This record gives sequence, structure tokens and C-alpha cells, in this order.
Amino acid sequence: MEKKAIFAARQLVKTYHVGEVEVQALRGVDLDLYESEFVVLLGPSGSGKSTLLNILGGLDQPTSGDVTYRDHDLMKMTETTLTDFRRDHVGFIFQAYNLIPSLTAAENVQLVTDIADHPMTPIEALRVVDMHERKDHFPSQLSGGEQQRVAIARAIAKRPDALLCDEPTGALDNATGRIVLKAIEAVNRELKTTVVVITHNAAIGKMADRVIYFANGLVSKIETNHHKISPDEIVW
Amino acid sequence: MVSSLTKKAFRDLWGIRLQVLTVALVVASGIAVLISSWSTYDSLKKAQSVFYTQSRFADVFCDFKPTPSTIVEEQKSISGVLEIEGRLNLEAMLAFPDINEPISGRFISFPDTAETTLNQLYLRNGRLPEGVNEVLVGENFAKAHRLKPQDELNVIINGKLRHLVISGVGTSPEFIYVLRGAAPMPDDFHYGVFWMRHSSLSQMTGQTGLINSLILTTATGINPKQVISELDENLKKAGGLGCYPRADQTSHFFLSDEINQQKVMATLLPTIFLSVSAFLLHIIMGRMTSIQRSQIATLKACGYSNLKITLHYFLVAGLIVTIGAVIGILAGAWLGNQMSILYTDFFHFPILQFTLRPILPISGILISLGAALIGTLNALKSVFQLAPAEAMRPPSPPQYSKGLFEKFMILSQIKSETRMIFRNLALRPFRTFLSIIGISLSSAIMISGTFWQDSLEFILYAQFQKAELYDMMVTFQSPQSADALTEIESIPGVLLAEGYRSIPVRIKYQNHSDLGAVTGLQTKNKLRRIIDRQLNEVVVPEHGILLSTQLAKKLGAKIGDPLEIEIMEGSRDLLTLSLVGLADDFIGAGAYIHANNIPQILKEGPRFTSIALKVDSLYEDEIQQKLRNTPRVAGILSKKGLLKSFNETTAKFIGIFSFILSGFAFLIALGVVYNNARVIFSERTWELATLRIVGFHHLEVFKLLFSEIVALVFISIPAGWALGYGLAWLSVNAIHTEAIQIPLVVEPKSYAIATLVVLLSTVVSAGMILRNVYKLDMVSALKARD
Repeated sequence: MEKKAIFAARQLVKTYHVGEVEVQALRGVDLDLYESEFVVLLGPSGSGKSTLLNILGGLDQPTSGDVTYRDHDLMKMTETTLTDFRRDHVGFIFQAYNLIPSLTAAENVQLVTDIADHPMTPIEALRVVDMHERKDHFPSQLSGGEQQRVAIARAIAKRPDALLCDEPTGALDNATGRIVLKAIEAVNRELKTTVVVITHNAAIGKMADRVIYFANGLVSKIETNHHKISPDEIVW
Repeated sequence: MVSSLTKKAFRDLWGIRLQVLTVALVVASGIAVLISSWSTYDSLKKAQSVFYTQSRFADVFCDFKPTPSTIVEEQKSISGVLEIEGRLNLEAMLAFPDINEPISGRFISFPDTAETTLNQLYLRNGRLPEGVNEVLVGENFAKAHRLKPQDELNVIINGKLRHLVISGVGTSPEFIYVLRGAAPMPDDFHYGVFWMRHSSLSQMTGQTGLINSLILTTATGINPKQVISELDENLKKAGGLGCYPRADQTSHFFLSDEINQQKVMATLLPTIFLSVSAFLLHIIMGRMTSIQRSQIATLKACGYSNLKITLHYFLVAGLIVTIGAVIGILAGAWLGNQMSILYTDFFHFPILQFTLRPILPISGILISLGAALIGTLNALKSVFQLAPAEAMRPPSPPQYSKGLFEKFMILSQIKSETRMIFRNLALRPFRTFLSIIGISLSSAIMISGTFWQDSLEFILYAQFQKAELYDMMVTFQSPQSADALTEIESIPGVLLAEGYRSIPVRIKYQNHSDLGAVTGLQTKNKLRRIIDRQLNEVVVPEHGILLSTQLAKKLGAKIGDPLEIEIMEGSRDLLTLSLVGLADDFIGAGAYIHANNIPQILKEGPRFTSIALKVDSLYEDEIQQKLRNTPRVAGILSKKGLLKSFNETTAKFIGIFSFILSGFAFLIALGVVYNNARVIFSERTWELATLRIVGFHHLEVFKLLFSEIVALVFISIPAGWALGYGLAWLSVNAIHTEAIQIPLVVEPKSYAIATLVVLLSTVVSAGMILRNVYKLDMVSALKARD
């Protein structure tokens, strides 16, 4: 059966103006991302990975080119429809967790389930990342890894089609990073959510179905893993 | 060369220019109110004392029956009397061809020859009267009727019309505040003061060679009381009505009251404004330093000392205060000047020069600056305690907890958003508390300005709807027999007439005494009642005497105490009456006995000094016309006219005052609400960005952010009502007027206006914050987590 692409990017260009300097973050990227696959984006800083992720997630718009989510042209979306798109279809994970400090773990998840269409319950979402027992803790009472797992629960509670992770383990030590990666892997495996992970750590690529390499605003290489390994097997 | 740190100060300020502006405006309001209210007080006080000195305002005043003027010479020997002057002082009706309302005036004579007199007249225009028919018109009345020199004035003396010519317009220290009898407020349209040469006035009134009033100054160091007792004794044979010191002189008494009120306002309002601006400066500086903690760390890493960094933030704070101070000084000087003009117009001081003591702006600036510097130091202290490397990292997340709020709520029923609001408010209870106080104070300021109107309206209602039920009050030059009542009753259109007898008395209790009148009232009165503060009628007892609470307080007498009543006319008997009741009324310091006892006390038949009328409004003009031409009628007071006049003067004055206050209240509310919102916004930029990323729309994010402000505002509104009521209570109690007992009345209208001002400032802040939410860049907000 042919895999169905959920994201398709064609000749994607993104130019930033930083003061008077023009920075070309993407120089014409062609890429398809498929349903329920686990993709890792690798590449040096400034190679365009985050820019691509932000565009796919509707946080940013390209300067030129085409990008579609299923049948929807993201280029044609307004601020409001982009917000709805994020609300219903994508989940984000950032290096900095970004939990609301005044809400407990469960309440942080509830923040999303309150506005999503067919969400899980906050407890269900927390159970996926094995955080349900700490649901009443505030962010300040959780370790970094635990906070990141709550962030994952919050991202997946809406049952998104894609989970976009920008350096999810960047701020964590190896052991904790491994736990977070297991949680992300579980989401991909159990919920069939397409997962895109940006990382500097090439070892993580071994967990993925495909590893896409970035350099200078372009896709330089795509590798397909025929034998995915589990996070426990990763050598850091 | 400008150091880069100085450049940073200016650019930082530019970056938060809206916040700087709102805080500067609150600072400006504080300084402006401080300057304008104190300088108005200073100016009034100075104008009063300068005018009193220059015009040689008398220290003691005596009234008696028309008596040969030789009595003046006899008093000169009293030790302590410096200068003494006799004069005629009487009331007469005026006739204007096109005005039907009753208008009356007080006519006062001044020496024919002497150049230097007491209570010297100040000429506004024209010249002093010289000829027989010439008259000088008091400025207030001249203004109300647009009278100028050479205009004609018709006076009704003993029922006969006399034509006078106006020689000039002027004023005297005795009539800065012109009040007629017991009327609670000035009524310049219906009542004026007029001066004529002694020979002219005595000739016109047929009292040649007579005087009925003495004014005198006492030597320095002499207590007027000593002189007064001797004078009273000497004037008994002239039917003396009792002498009184300047302190009891009507104009002086009311004017001093008014100036005293200004002083209370000058203390109360700037204190509030400067505290709020201190609080705002404190939070804005605190926030700026905590936002810039990594910058501070970098500066320290580069080798800048704590002192240098502190001075840098002092410069920032100083600049905000300077902007506020410049606006505040300009606005304060302008406002003070305007208020002086307004007061000049209200009181007709000959010279009311706006004076601004430099200490005022300086103290305003120092207070604001002090607050800003303390705020800065407090915030910097926590940053300085950290090692630079640590300070460069973002601060650890604040420790939230489920506060008291939630213990009483059914958790599952509240949305996460609501929980965020409560927890954020509970996280910084001190800031939340101060914000609530700040917003409440702005409503409170509004209420403290508008409640005056409510209280005065209540007094008017009580006085004119409940106590004084007549349409007109006719007063006579001397007591009239019962025929006068019958005669007036028979005028077509008079529905009801009720006569009263007032006796001039001096009431003494132990070593306190008061000069006034005792009025005889029936058990049931149709047109004139005594009411207490609950608006219930107070019945005049058959025996003994009833006093206003105010008067009893002044005398130090309690119910049951024996009061010595010295009758100041006729037999001049001295009798003792027991104080049998107190009337807790608003206006005046009255004394009442049962009308049935009067003939016995005075050893005369029933006579009246005033008659109250209820009339058919269709006949009002004719009745007034008829009364004007009745001999011995000294004055007619029309209730309708008095109310109209009140609405045109005092009410307008309070209106302007409230309007200015609402402007300031708006600025305070805006300052507190906007800065709070802005601080919340900057503290949680990344939180808001996160919400946008997980799919919250702009308006949803805004709602979440602003709900916290709305919660603050909603807590503040009732708090503001309570504070406003307290402030009004403070104002009423701080202002001691013996003339009027100001009841503390705050109508829903005043609460509503105060609430509207706060809501308006909330809406304006909302607009400003919404703009920020739309400009929020999600990606960069997340990357730059501080």
C-alpha cells in the first residue's frame, strides 16, 4: 500500500530580515512526510530545520513555494485558520517545555483538551507518557524530564496528526532524555501519530523510520532505517 | 560623549514609552494636585489676610435700635477700643421693572467725610457715592444683574419707591461671602449689599442723626470678649442686640470655613495621588530590572560595579519622574491659577493673586523620586545577590500552589483558565493587594468629589421639602401685630399663612454664650418644621427650650441643663429655661420655644417677625408685587429663586470640581490597570506564546491575560466604593462647619460614575494590550525565554 503524505513541501523558500541583513533559512526545500512515520531532522545550527518545522506547524509562513497539509494549502491560510489548524492537527514539543507554571500537570493538559474537538482526557494523555501519577504537581515540583513528558501529554491530548518536536531532549541528561524519547516513541507507535524530531544528536536518528539531513537551507540527504532501534538501545 | 549606559537608559524608556507615559501622568497628577490645591489654599488665605489688613476689617460688631449717634463717643472710653465707627445697617426691598421675583438688599452707611474708615470699601469701578441719591453696589449683586455706574436702582423704603443712581461697584471685607439671614448659601441674584453716605441713607430712611450699628477695632493683645461685655452693658439702653467678635461674623465665618475645606482637600488628595504614583513607579522599576536581569549580569560580567548599575537605573527612574514633574508643575500651576480665578469669581476678592511656593513642586518631586528610587533598589537588590553567571540564566519558575480560593471551590467545575487567574493573583499577594488599592483609590477619589453634590442635594431636599414647606417667607423690619397676618392672608392667591415670632437673645450656659434668636413655634406647624437627620419632625415642647445639637454642643449643654436666656429687646429680661430637647438638624444653630409662651415672656400680645406663605403659583407675581409695596416688609425670600440661584452657582462650582477630579481618577485608574496588564504581559510573554502555539486564538489569549485584570478591577470596584465612602466620611468630618451639618450621603449615581471611570480606563487599557497580543511573535517569544 502506498504511504499517504500528510505534509508536502515544494520549493519552500524562507527569507528572514534580521535588521538590514537578509538571511535565507530555506532555499527551496522539497519534502514529503507520511502518515504515522517517525522522522528525525538532523543538521547543524542554522541549517533550516526549525524553520521548516515552524512552517509545517503553522507557526510561520514561507516566503515562497508550496506547503500543504493533506488537502489544505497552508500558504492560503489566514491567521485564524492557521490557529485552528494548530488547535486541531498538530502538537508541539520544545526544548524549554513551556508549561504554564500556574497550572498543575493535569491542568496544563486540560488547557488543550478544553478547546480541542475530540481530545483524550488529561489522565489518558498523561498515562501515555507515564505521568498520570504526578498529575497534581505544579511545574516547579517536577524535574525537567517530567516537565517535558507533561508537555508531550499536552501536545498529544488533542490526538494530533503530527507531533513536531524541536530539540525535545536538548536540555536533558541522557537518562532523562531516554525516558522522554520513549514517551515520544510510544505516541508514534500506539497512536500512529506522525512524529518529527529535530535534534543535534545523530544517535537518535536510529529510532526513526527516516532521517532527513539538512545543510544550508536545503535537504542534503535522506536515509531510511530498515531496522529501527528502541530508545534503550541508543548509545549517546 | 554620552556613555553607552546613558543611551541604554533613553532607549529602554523609549521601548516602554506607553508605560512611561501612563506612570508619568500619574506622577504629574499627584504633583499637579499638590501644587494646585495648596497654592489655591495659600492664595485664598493670603487674599483674605491682605484684604482684611488693607481695608481695616473691624474686630467687633454691634447692632441695636436706631439711637442718636452720640452713643459712639461714649464707647471710645472703653479700654481696648482702638477705633470705633457708627453707621446705619438695614434691609430694604428693591424693585426692578422687569423682574417679578423678590429682591432685597442690605444698606449700610459709611462716614460722610472721614477718609479713613473701618471696613473700607474697595472700588471695582466707578467712584464712591457723593450725592444724596448715590449708591455703591456690591460686586456680587452687580455682576448678577449686570449693573454699572450711572444705572438706576429703585429702592422701596417704608413702602415708598426711591430712585438711586449707581456711582460705582465695590466690595468690603464684611461681605466677601454674602448671605441673607439663615439662607444656607449665597444668592447673589436675590440679595445684595449697598453702601451709601451716612447723611444720604439716614435722610432717605428718615433716621437723621441716628445709627443702629457699631463697628470697632481693638488694640493688639486685647481679647474682644472683654470689650464686648462692656459694650453690651452700655448698649442695653439702645436696645442692643448683642455685640459679636469677627469670628462670628457671617462672611468671615463662611469664608474661613471654605478656606479650611480647601486645606483639607490639599492634604487629602495629593497624599492619595502621590502614594499611587509611588506604587506604580515601584512596580514599573521592579519589573524593568527583573526583565533585564541577564543584561545586568552581562554588565557586571563586563566589570560594571553595582553602584554604576544602580545609578543607571536611578537615571531611568529619574527621567520618568522628570517627565511627570514637568507636566505636573505646568498643569498644577495652570490649574491652581484657574481655581484662583474661579474662587475670585465666587468670592469677589479684590485681589486674589495666585501664589506658588517653590517648596510645593520640590516636595512633590522628592516624594515621587524617593518612591522610584526605593522601588529600583528593592528590585536591584535581588539581582545583585546572584552571581553574574546565575543571573544570566532565566529565573526558576515561581512556586505556585492551590491557594485558599480553590479550597472553597468545586475544582472540576472551573476551567484551567480561571484557575490560572486565581493562582497568578495569589502568587504575588502584595502586588495584587496594592493594585486593588490603586484602582479602588481612583474610584474613591471620584466618589469623594461627587458625593458633595449628593450631600447638598439631600440638605436641600430635607430643608425645602421636609422642613420649610412654604413658597415665600416674608420678614419684617420690626415685630408686627396679628393684623399683618390677617392682611397678608387676605391677599388673593395666598393659600396659607403662618406667622412666627423670633426674639434676639443671648443664650448662656456656664461660661459659654451664643448670640442668636429664639423662634416660637406651635406644636403642629404647617409651613415650617424642625426636622432631625432621619427627616422626622421634632415637636417643640410646651415648656423649656429646644436647641439644635450644634448649638448645644457649642454651649456645652446637655438635656436638663438650665440655660440663661438674655432677651435682647424690650424688657431685656433675663430668664432661665431648661434644655428639654435637641434637634439634630442640618442647617443653622437654632433655638426654639413653644409659641404660646412668647406673649408671657415678652409681656406683649401675639406679634410676628416673619410670615411664611403657601401660595397659588398662578398668583405668585401679584403677591410679590403686593408684598413689595407693603410698608415694613424688610425682605421676601422665594424658595424657587433660591434653588435656581443655587443651581447656577454652588452646583456649577461642584460640577467643575467633580469634572477635574474625574480626569485625575481616570489617569490613576489607567495608570494602575494598564501597567498591571503590561507587567503581566511581559512576565508571561512566553506563556501566552505557548497558548498561541497550542491553538489559542489572539482573542482567547487576550481574554486569558485580561481576565486577570478584569478580576482585579471587579474586586476593586466594591473596594473602591467602600474606600470612597470612607474618604467622603473623612472629608465631611475633617471639614468643621458650624453653619451646615453636612450629612454623609452618597447616591448610587456617584458610585456609578466612579465605576464608569474605572471601566473606561479598563477598556482603554484593554485596547492597548490587545495590540500587544496581536504583535506577539510566537517563535521568537519562545526562543527568548526572558
